[in-house]
Amino acid sequence: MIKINNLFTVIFVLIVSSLLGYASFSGSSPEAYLFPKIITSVMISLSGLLLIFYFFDNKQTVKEINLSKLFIYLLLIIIFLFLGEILGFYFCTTLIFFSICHFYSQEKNNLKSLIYNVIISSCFMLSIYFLFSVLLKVQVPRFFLL
Amino acid sequence: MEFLNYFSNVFTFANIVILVLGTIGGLLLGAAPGLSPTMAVALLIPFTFKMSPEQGLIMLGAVYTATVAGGAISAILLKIPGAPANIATVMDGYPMAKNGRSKEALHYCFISSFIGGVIGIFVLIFFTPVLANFALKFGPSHMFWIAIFGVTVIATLDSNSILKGLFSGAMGLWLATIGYDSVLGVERFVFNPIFSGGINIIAALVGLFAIPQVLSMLEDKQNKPSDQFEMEKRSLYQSFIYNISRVKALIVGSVSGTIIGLIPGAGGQIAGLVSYDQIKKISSNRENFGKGEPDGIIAAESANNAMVGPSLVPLLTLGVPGSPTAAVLLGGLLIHGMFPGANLFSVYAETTWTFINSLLVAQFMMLIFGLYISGLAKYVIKTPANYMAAAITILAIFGTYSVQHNFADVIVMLFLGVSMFFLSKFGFTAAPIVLGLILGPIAEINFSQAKIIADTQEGIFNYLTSGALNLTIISLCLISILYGVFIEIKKKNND
Repeated sequence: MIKINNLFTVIFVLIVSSLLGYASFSGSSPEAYLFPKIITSVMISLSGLLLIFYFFDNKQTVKEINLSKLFIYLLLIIIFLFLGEILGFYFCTTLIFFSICHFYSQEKNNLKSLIYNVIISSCFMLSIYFLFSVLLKVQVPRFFLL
Repeated sequence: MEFLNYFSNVFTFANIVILVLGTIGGLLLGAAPGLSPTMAVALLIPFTFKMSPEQGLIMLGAVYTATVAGGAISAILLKIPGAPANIATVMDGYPMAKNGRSKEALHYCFISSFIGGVIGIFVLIFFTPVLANFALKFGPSHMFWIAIFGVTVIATLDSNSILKGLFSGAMGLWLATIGYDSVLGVERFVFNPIFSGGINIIAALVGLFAIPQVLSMLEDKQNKPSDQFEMEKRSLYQSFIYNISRVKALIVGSVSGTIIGLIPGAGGQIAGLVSYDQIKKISSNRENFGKGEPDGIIAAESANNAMVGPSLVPLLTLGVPGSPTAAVLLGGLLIHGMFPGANLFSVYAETTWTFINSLLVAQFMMLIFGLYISGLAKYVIKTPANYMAAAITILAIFGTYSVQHNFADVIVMLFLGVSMFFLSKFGFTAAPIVLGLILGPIAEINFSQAKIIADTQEGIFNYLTSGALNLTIISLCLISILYGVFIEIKKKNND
């Protein structure tokens, strides 16, 4: 569980808009960058106002994010981003589907639930294969047969 | 009566199949707690890419209609609104179910949704062409301000903080500038070759709406499906007769839903709550509200479905969506090369009228399938969150990839989705970003054209701020911002 203060978000937003502003104002063609310059100026002004209002606000909000609960999902996403094209979509997404079902299950993980999740994952991925590869003829990256 | 010329187009075999699938799918998606109509439409947009514009829009329209009504199932049976539009339905729907009248409550919900929905679609049919012809008078400066108005409206109404909403809208406008400048052809902000084509709207839509929802489901500790009530025996005829006898509740719901739908950015949540509040004030059974009063369900449900048609009026004519879901639907229009405005009723008249007519037919389907499915929906409601989250993730990945066969789109989708989840914790919302991204190119092209015209005349500032129409739209932008400030101050004082 991590706690993030609203101030952190406001500063983050200010930094992002300043960086985007820098990129817009240092663009090679003044004409092409005119619209982004206006937009980033508005963004910097709004994030500046957010920072000012933060100090006027009596209620300082701290939000909790349960990163330990999300860790597996985020890890699966990162693995997919790096290996999705190499290992193939069907292989990777079957793994993702099964892992989410298994690790986020509210019931006790025993052999019965494991088999149940394998069956559900296989059925779901078969329907995805039928929908995308057979019906819609979408060519996704593949590895061997998957 | 031009719409009648294209009425038969809806009744082709393919269109009817799409309507049936869209309605059933929408009802089930709507019934599943946490899956909002906006997310459902966003998730389906990639599938429509492979269809003809007509079929794609019919599918999205049917899903939009059905999810709003389907959300009432979980609102009544579980006390969890399936969509924000069904918040008001919970107040009397759940107590009715608790008192052993769940089937009766579901009957009222679908019959009222149908009546409200049909009224709303007729408003769409008769208002849209008139407003579209008016939009012909708009020049580049007006279109620029209209695009800005669309972003400000969604930013102020769909966010808890006006500053954060406006920042999100501006962020969307900036994201739209990534890639090649459409007027000069200059490459901008392409930090990595994967961005050379700009941010794909569908990737952004799916990522911003679906992934944060998945993360919220997984983060929520109480993701166990809840118990629900057994259904009593109740004759549909009895419910129908009672429902149509509640004229006051139906009028209040349908009229307030229609008016709120016409206001850009307002959405079904406001429609449901406003009509509930109004009927409670004028009802003679005031003391029964909150304890299982059918009028509460009838007003709320007729309002949130009456909002659907009118919310498309400003969308189809000006490109300003009447609700966050309509904003996503705009993405569906654009991927088929259809831009809002008078062209929709001249060049694309056949597609547009077929789509609008299909919304009318979708109301009938929603009524028939809704009444039937509400009994079966308990199985969907009971689907554990982990299966739901896994299915949404896989559909989001395949759906996004299928649009351009580009892995970069999947990267963008997942990156935007995860970022949005963290930002949403601090009051930033997805709808203004999406609308900024969609309306960004319209705003920029018209700004550039206005600048070219203004350079030969009085200068860009004077050109953009002169004329009655410009000043009217600028005033509307300011009013929407001031309204947002007023609401925020009021909310803080109440807290």
